[in-house]
Amino acid sequence: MSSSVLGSLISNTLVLGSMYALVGIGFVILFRSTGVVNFAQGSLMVLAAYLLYTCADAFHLPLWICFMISVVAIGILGGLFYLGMFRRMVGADLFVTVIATLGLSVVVQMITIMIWGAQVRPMPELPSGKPVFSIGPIPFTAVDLTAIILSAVLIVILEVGLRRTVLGIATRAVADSSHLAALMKVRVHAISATAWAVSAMCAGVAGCVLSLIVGSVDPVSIGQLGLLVFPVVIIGGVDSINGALIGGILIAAIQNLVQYYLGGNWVDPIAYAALLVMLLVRPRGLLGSRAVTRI
Amino acid sequence: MKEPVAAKRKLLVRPVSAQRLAEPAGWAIFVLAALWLIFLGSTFDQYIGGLAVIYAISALGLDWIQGRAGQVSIGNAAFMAVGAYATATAVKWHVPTLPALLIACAAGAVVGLIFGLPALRLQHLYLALSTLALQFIVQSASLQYETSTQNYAGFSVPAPSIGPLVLSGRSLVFALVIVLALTVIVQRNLFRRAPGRAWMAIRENQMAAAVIGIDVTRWKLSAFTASSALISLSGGLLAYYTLRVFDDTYTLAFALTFVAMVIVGGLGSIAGAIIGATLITIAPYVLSSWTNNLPSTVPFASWLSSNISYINNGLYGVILLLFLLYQPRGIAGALAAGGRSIAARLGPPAQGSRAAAGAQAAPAVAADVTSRSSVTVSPDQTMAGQDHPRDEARQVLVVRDLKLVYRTGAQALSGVDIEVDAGEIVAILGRNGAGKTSTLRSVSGFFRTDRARVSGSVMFDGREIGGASPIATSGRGVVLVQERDKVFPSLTVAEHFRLIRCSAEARAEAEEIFPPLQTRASSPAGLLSGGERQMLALALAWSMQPRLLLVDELSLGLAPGVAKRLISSLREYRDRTRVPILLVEQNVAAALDVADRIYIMEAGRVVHSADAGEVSRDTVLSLSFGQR
Repeated sequence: MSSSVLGSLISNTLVLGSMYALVGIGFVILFRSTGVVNFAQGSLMVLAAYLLYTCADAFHLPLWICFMISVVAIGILGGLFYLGMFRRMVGADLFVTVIATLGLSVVVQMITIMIWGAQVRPMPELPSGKPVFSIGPIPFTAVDLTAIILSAVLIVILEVGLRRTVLGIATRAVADSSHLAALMKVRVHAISATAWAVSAMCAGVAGCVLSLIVGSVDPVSIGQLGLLVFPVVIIGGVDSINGALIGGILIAAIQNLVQYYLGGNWVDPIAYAALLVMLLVRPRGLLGSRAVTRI
Repeated sequence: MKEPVAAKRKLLVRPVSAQRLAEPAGWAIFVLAALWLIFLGSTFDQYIGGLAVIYAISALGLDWIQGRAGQVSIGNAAFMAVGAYATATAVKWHVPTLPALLIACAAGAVVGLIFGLPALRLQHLYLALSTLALQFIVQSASLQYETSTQNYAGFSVPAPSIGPLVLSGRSLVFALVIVLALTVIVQRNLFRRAPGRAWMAIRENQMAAAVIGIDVTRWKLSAFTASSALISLSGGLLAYYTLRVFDDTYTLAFALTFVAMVIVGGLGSIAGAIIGATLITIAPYVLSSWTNNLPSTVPFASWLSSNISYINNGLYGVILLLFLLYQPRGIAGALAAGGRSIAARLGPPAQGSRAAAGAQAAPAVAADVTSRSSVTVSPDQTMAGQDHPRDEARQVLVVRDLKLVYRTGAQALSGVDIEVDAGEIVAILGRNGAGKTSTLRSVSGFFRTDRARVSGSVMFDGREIGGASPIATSGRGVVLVQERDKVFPSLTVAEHFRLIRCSAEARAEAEEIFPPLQTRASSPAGLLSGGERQMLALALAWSMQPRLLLVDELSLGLAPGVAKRLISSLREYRDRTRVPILLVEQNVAAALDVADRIYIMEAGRVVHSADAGEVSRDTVLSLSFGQR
C-alpha cells in the first residue's frame, strides 16, 4: 500500500467514522434516556438528505441554510415521533419499542418514496475536492474537515451537556427510571421528546453529510448505512458515548480496509460479522456498562 | 326468587360450552376457507392463497421464538433464503421434492443453531441484532453464490412432485394446506406439553425458570433451531411455489413483514399467526383492486392509483404501527377479549367470583377479634365505627370505594376507603399482598402502559385525582417514596439535589439531619446502602415540598437502629411542616409508634381502622397477620 493510498484511507476513515459516530451517539442518547432501541435512524437519514435536496433544488437556498433547515426539520419530526407514538409506550417492553421503530422505519421510507419517487436524485455540488490541508501523507478536503469538525463539536456538546447540565441530569434520571423521574416532577415527556429530537438531528446531520459526499440520494443506500449503527454501538457499548465514537471509527476503518483488499461485496458482511463476534466475545461492548447485557 | 336463580344457573353453563365450542368453530372456519380456496377459488385467488399459506408457515416459525420464547427476530428472510438456496442446490443434484425440503429444514436448523448462540446468554435485543447480522451476511452470500455459479438471474426450480404426481395449481395449494395443518398439529402438541411450558417459563422469567430446574440453554436453543428449520422449510416451499430462487426476494423488508404478521395476528397464538399472515399477504391485493375500482371523481383517486405500488410496499408497516398503538395484543388477543366479554355478559365471570371469594374471606379473619372490626367492611360502617366524626374541612385525602385491577387480571383492591387529615400520620398495615402498596400507587397514579384499571374516587384537596398519571399527581403535590426504585442509581447524590432544583438551604438542612448525604455527595446512588438510599429518598421528597407524602415500607430491610432514626425523623418532619403522611409499614411496632391512626388491610380491603393510641400491638398483629 503506497503512502498516498494509506493517507486517503485514513482520511476516508475519519470522515466516515465521524459520521457513524454521530449516528451512534444519537442512538446512545435515545437508548439511555428512553430505553428505545431505534431501528428507524436510517430512514431519518434518508429523509434528511431528501429535504436538503429539495431545499437546494426547488428554492435555490445556500447549502448551509438547506442543511440547517433539513436538520431542524428532522429534529422536530423526531420529537413528534415521541409525542405521537412512543409517549404511549413509556415503560413498555424493549420488545414492543424495537418492533415499533422497525415499523416506523418502513412507514417513513414509504412516505419518502411517495414524495420523492424511487429514482436517484443529485445532491447540490460541493466545493472542489482538492485537499486544502494535510497531515503527513493524509490529505483533507474542505468537506472532509467540515464533516470531522462538525461531528467533533456536536459530540463534545452532547457529552458535556449530558454530564454537566440539569437537562442532562434529568435525561439520565429518565433513563434510570421514567416512573421515578415522573414522581420527582421531572418533565418526562419533554425530556424524552428532546432526546428523540437530538437523536434524530444526529441522524439528520449524518444523512446530509454522507449524501453530499456521495453526491446523490436514493431511498435505500443511505438507509443501509443507518443500520450500520448497530455494529458501531455494539462494538462501543450501547450506553457509551465514547464507545460510539470508537465504534464508529473502527467500523469505518474495517470497511475501508475491506473495500481496499477484498472489494465492495464484502464491506457489509464483514461489518456485521464484527458485530456477531462482539456479541459472542464481549456483549457489553468495549466501553458499555455491565448493566446493559440485561437488555 | 326461584326463577332468576334457575335462569342464572342456565347462564352459568352457557359460557363454558360456548368457550368449548369456540375453538373448534374457529378451526372449522380455517378449514372451510382452505376448502373454498382449493375448490372454488379462481386461479389468482389460489395463487395468493398459496402464498399466504407459505407465509403462515414462516410466521408460525417466527412466533415460536417471538411469541413463545419472547425474543425479537428479524431473520425470517435470511432463514427462508437458506431454505430456498438449499432447495435450489438439492434440485441441481436431482434430489426429489420431499428430501429436498428436508435438506432445506436441516440447513435452516444448522444456521439457526449457530446464530442462536449469541442470543443464549442474553435476551431480547441481542437476538434481533444477531439476526440482523445474519440478514446481511446471507444477502451477500446468496449474491456471491449466484455470481460464482453464473446464475445471474437466480436459480430456477422445477415444479414440485411426489412420486409421479406433479403438483401445480389446485393440488399444490392442497399440499401446502396439508403442510400447514401438520405444522399446526405439531406445534399445538408441543406448546401444550412440557416443552411449551418450559418456553413459557423462560419467556416470563429466565432466572426463575433456571431455578426450578429448566435447562434454559437447551430449551432456548431448541426453540430457535426448530423455528429456524420451520422457517427454512417455508423458504424451500416458496422456491418450489415461485419456481425460482433469486436474492432480491429475501430482503430486510421481507423479514419485517413476518414480524408484522405475528404482531398483527397476536403474539403467542397459532391461529393469530395464520390470521396475521393471511391479512398481511392479501392486504396489498385488496387495496390495489379497491383503488383500481375507485371512480375518478373521488379526490386523490389518480394520486392513489399512481402511488399504489409504493403504498403497498409499506402497507404492512402502517398496519403494524396501527396494531401496536391501538390493539397491541393483535387480532387473536382482541378475539379472545371479545369472547371473554361476551361470556361475561352471559354469566358471572370467573374473575369476579374469585374476588368475591376473597372478600368473603376478609371479614372471616376480622370476625374473631373484636366486635368493632367485624362491621368495618362497607364505607358507611367504617364511618360509623369511628370514635369521633371526621372534620371534612381538614381532610386532605379522601379515598372512596377504590378498586384496582392489574393488567394480569388480578384484582388488587376491591373497595378501599381511607382518609388522611391535615397534619396527620396515617399508617396502613397488613400482610404481603393485602393491597397496601397498590393503595399508595393508586393515589400516586399509573402510567398508561401499566394498564391498571382504577375505579372509585380519590379526592385530594377537594379535587378528584383518581386515574391521573404520576406526572399529574406529583404536579399537585402528591409525593411518593417507593419501596424499590426510590433513587436514580447512576446519578450521584449531589446530582439528585440538582435534578429537583433543591435550594442550598434545604439541602444543608437535609444534610444536617442525615450526615451521610454530605459525606457521600459525589457517590452514585446505586452504591449507597439501603439506609442511605432511604435517607436520600426522604430528603428529596421533603425538598419537593409535598402537600401529601406517601411512603412505602420505610423500615423494610434496614437495621433496627437505622429504621428507628428514619421513623423519628419522619415524625419530626411532620411536626415541623404539618405535611400529612400516608405510610405503608410491615413493622407494627414502628407504625404504632409514629402514626396517629392506622388502617389494617386484608385481601384488597380495609378491615379495620383505629387511632394508634387505642390499639395494642397484639390486637394489630392478630388483625393483620392472623396471629394470636
